[in-house]
Amino acid sequence: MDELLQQFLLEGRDLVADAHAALVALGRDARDRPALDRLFRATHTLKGSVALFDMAPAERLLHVAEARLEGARKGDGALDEAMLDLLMQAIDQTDRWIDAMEGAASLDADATGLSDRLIALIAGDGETGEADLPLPVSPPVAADQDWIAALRSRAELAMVDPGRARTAFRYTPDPDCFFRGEDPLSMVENVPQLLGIAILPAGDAWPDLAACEPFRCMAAIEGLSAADEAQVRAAFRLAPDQIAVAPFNPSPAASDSAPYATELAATLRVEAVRLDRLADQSGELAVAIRALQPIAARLRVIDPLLAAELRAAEDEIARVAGRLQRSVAQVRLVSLEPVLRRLPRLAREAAAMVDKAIRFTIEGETAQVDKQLADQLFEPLLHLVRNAVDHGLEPAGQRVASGKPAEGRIGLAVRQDGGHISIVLTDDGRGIDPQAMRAAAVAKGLMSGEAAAALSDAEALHIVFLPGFSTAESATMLSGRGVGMDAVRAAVERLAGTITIQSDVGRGTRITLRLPANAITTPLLVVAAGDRQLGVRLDQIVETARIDASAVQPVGQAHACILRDRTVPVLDLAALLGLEPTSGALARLVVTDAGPCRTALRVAAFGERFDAVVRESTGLLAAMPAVAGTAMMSDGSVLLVLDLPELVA
Amino acid sequence: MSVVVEEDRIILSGAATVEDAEPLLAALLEHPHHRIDIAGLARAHLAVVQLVLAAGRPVIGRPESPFLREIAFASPMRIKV
Amino acid sequence: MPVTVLIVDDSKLARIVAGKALAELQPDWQKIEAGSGAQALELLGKERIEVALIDFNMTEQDGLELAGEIRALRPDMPIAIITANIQDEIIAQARAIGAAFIAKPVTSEGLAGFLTGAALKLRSSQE
Repeated sequence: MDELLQQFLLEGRDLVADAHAALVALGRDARDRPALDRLFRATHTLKGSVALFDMAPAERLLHVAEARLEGARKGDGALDEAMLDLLMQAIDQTDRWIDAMEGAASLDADATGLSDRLIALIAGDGETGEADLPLPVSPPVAADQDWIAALRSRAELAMVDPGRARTAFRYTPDPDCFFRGEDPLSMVENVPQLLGIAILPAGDAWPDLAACEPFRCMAAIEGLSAADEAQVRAAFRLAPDQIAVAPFNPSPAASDSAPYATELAATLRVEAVRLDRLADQSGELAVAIRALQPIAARLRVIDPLLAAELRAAEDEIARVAGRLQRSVAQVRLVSLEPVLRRLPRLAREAAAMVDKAIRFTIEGETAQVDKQLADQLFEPLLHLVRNAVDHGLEPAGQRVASGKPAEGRIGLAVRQDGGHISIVLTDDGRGIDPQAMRAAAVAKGLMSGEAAAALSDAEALHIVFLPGFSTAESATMLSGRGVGMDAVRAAVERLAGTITIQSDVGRGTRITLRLPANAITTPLLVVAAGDRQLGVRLDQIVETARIDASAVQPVGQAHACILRDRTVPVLDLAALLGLEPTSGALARLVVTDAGPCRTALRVAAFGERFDAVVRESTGLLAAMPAVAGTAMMSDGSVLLVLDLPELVA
Repeated sequence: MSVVVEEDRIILSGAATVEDAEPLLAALLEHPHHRIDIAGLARAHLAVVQLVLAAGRPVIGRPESPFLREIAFASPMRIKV
Repeated sequence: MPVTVLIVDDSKLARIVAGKALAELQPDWQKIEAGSGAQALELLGKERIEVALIDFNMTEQDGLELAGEIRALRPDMPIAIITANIQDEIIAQARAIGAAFIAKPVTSEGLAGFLTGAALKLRSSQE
């Protein structure tokens, strides 16, 4: 893909997210000035960005939105709810167009119509319409971006520490300014916290000396300051028409004004794949070091002193390797924002399809998680959000009748606590009735009446995660049949997370995902089945047990045993894998809750426990149903890691 | 300020005002190979600085003014002590 | 021939202050004083005037308006607006008519840049 477009997709979506956040803040408090400014800036920059592509309808729409916002900033009155909604639609529409640019590299044929309709609504509302802010021939932002991009590459400014620079300026005095007694250089000297300047020919190059007029200004001055935008602007108060000032970020990615500039060396973009490899290798190093342990043990017999030295060395290496792993984990941390920022729009679209109005709020979206986690969270979250829209929220009429606001509230809150991250999705909808869940589960043949009755109310809510379960009477276009909550749970569990659900009938539902923020290494237990060694994730194991083989009783075609006063089905791992069933007087069991109910897996032997990087299986292995991935063992051999949820399902 | 022409260089010293641009331009045109010595420069109007830059000559000397030394003539390619 | 500077201010005191600063910087230049915009325009019609220093804050007609009228008559004349507090809007209007700013009270320091520029301008337009 074209690099410019790629950058645009990245930053355009950032700006959309920014605008969303500001709109939400304005929704809470229409007089939130910083939010208004933020929304204005995001809209303004977005307009400049879309102008770089064949997106004229988007540019026109954003232009009118910007004019409306400019009016509000000048005190034409706060934005009312209807206007905020229109602006939200404009931003959402822009977001969709960004998607379209990614997919088809062009806007749909209906873009002009959509744009015109929104423009009419936004401009028609107040007196601040198109007329107030004529569309410039070349959008100022694009021009800004040009000069900032050029500024970044100025040799004169190469010595400036980009980390200190906060504001960039370009001052283009008119040729006659000397005659008015102005000295542009002394004005520049008065810029607070000036870090560096470049004095450049105003034209393409300095003219020949013979062609120079001594009193005509032929220079432009660019510079960087550690002061903020307002302070720098103040230094040029007397020449406001000749100065461009913009916030300066060392990394264009974080900038809202210089998105397409060349990057300075302060940040480095690395291909994700290389980072994955680094993470894998640092994990492998940790595992490889473990090979020293048995050597030290053998050595102890021969030379205890030397063995002790080896152990000490091993400890030291392990410590350093651990640090390395943590550093790599740090590098892999990314903000959840890019994942979450797309949800509000998709939620509103989902709501529109079923004719519901929602208000979506996000908190804590900047929490940092491992990249793999961020990559894999979007789908399950989207599913949950759609589900909340579709099944959680009542139709507006019903809401009003029960004394709720017509607009349904959906909130997504992300909290980081230590190595974990919790994502809480709340809605103020109808809630889930545990009794209805029990009845439905029995009616669908998912469990017996007694089993259902034995569930506590809290447990009954979790029936929703059983495969094939749906509380909705009819399938809808949105979430389809079966809701896919079981798929959500599977996805969360693949990320070594848990999902729980709470509900107040009539008042709403709260779904909590708890996930490890760093998902690099996974603790594994090695088990044997037949002649094979296999890995099982420790977090999926409730306990391991050794019982007399005779305690495993045939029940119909299956087997079961009593564990802690509970009947637990027993599956033979070897048999499940198509190997010779395990025999012997002692039954070694791995007990797991990974499936729909507590299950014991009979294995031939328990092996070592260790932490390893579990790589998702690819190629041939991906086709094997029971394999979740592979891990490298201390001797360099590859261990297949079982997909317990799938195996015992 | 004064614009003084020596054997191999044009020496700028003191506070250079906009009016100094005229004699400087004349000196630059008259001595196309002279270097420009700014060691004694205390202040400089843009009219003077832009001529120094447009001349594209070697600029020598480190002025005492931090602004001139480190900001206005900061380019590592220009300053040769 | 000496340059003539028109000083427009409805305060006599302010005119004296500006006149002193002018005399300090350009002892050879002459000054003509006007107490109002109307008087300034009248003088402009009959005297040879090359530079104008105009107070912004005058009761009858503000300095910017007057400067605008003078600019229309004399497109190349160096004009400065003298003012104590400068609002952004005034700056923009003054720049639109190509007037410089001089801080009030007028000192020789504050006036120097403008007079230097004006001298250069007059010289270059004579050439």
